[in-house]
Amino acid sequence: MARPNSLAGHVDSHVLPAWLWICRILLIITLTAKLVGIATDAPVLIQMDSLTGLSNKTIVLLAAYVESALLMMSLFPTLRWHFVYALNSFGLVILAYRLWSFDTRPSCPCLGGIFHWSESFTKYEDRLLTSLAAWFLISGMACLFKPHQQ
Amino acid sequence: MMRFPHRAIALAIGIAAISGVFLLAVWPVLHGRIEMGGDEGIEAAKAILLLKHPTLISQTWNDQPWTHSLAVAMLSRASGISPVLLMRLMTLMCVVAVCLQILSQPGLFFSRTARMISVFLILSWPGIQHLFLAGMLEVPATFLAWSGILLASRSAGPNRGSALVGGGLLLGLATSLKLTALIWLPAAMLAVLLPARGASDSADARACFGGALKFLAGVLCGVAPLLASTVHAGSGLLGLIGAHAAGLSSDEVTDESSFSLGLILDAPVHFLGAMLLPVFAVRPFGPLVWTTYAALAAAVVAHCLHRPFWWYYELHFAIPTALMVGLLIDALQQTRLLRRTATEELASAAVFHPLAILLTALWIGFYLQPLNKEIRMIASATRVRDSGIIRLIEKHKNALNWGYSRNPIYLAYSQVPVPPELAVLAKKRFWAGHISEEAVLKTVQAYEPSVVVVSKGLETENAAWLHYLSEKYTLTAQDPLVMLYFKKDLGVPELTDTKAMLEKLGM
Repeated sequence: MARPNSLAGHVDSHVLPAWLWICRILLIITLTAKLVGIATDAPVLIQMDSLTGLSNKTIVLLAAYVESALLMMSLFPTLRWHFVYALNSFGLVILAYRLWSFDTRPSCPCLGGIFHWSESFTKYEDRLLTSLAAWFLISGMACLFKPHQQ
Repeated sequence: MMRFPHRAIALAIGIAAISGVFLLAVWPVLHGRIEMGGDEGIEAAKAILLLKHPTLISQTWNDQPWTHSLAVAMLSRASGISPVLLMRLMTLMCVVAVCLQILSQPGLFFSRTARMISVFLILSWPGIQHLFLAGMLEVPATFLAWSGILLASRSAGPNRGSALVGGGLLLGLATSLKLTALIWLPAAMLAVLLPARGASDSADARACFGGALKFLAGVLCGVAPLLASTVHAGSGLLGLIGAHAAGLSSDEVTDESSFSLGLILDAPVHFLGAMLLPVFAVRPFGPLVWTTYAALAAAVVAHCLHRPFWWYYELHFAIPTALMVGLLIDALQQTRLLRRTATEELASAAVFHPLAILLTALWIGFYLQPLNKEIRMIASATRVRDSGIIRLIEKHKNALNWGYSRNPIYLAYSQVPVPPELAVLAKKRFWAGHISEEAVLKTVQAYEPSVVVVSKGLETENAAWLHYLSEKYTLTAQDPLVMLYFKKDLGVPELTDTKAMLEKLGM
């Protein structure tokens, strides 16, 4: 599986699998939050997204669809590099969406409103999701461009 | 290859050029925005009172030393520059000086990356950027104090004694500006007393003790302006401390603002760095590691005990935690360089890059939006030249004796003095029962100021105020926040004619 510009050697055998597992866990958490939000008809999902004009529910459904596809892709070793590219793209789109909606708050509650169970944490939802998107993007890029270890 | 012979000159020209461009970029804000921080008006009112009626300052309630106001008044008198601009320049100079000190002081950090990250994180703490351009006391006091601590933590070299005295002097000066700078004293003493990095463990106790004495001598010299200004103001040291502690026990303080550890979630990069530093720091810990932890502990204890916790006190956490992140980067880089075994190499690869990526992602998520908000707020702050209120006061300034405003920044641009009893109308003064709304009105009635700027929703909701204003004053202008009244005997036209007047003024 080693590519010319991929993680190699022992780093390849330890860091990359660990990163994959972290990605899977994060995707499972966000996907579950979205599905629970949709199943329980969370009130925030009825509202319209201020940037796209679509309903929050539509956006959450789209994101849940992509996340489930990513999760399945991550389970197949033969699709590993496709997963890295796809995760990069997903991170880039979400990050762009979140940064773009800086001035049109509030943006989509993509954790399905679980933060609304505790009002004091509501303000962190958007920041947390932006961080997550940035992490997907940067860590995925690092996997692609990390040079050979000596 | 020949070494460039005039490297120092080139560096100086480079720094001057960058400073020039930077100053040009921030000049419109320093010079042209009405208000950058909530307490600017109060600080300006104190300085203007010293300029216009220096003998009356003994009647002023002031919970902070007069040093800053005295310095601003003296510089303004000597240079002719407006007090507001001087205050802002002083703040900016303190910030720039400490950033340059972190970037250049030998022995503080192992790598240049760590220095740059520390400075970057100090400047990017969420929601405080406008304070770096504001004429308030908190920023110059905190940055001066940290300049002193960093100077005192200089570990070795022939000028160690001078560094200790200089460090103490800076910390003392910071305390002379604002009493809250005293919270850094324990951390500073730790920086002085801990053995220097690279020095042998058997460092002479007498030398340490001598160093501490030098540092304390510097502190004593630094607090001399505080004592002198307190005596000059006639309040005495006990009076100053009493005013500073006023209102601490009132119910409003408890309800309004208290410190919460939820602050950690507002700046996760800083606090994650602080939490991880002991895990990765090279042992034995250097003096700066201990000093930053002592400073963080002091800030937490001080703000748990001392209320209210104003939001700008977050600055007290920004500097030590930003330095800790720098020290963490330092420690990780040292570990990478020193790795000897395959396990160490793996640990290094498994920690350094993932941690750097995590911190970067958290910074993007938690800091970028507040930073964007701050930049927009600074850029869109009302300009002095766009304020009809300020332009009208400026037009009539020669006929004005006193002025009153809950936010005296409107009067500061024309240097109209506020009655000494009303120069500092801080919330804690009301909480402490030292003054009441009725007493404010009575004082205004006693002075009969030529110009009154009342806040909408405050004085305008008070029937006694409205009655007094309608009897003695003419409403001349208003904006969404305030209403401008001139005394009737000045003959200033009423609001209905103000439009024509503003057109005359070219607005």
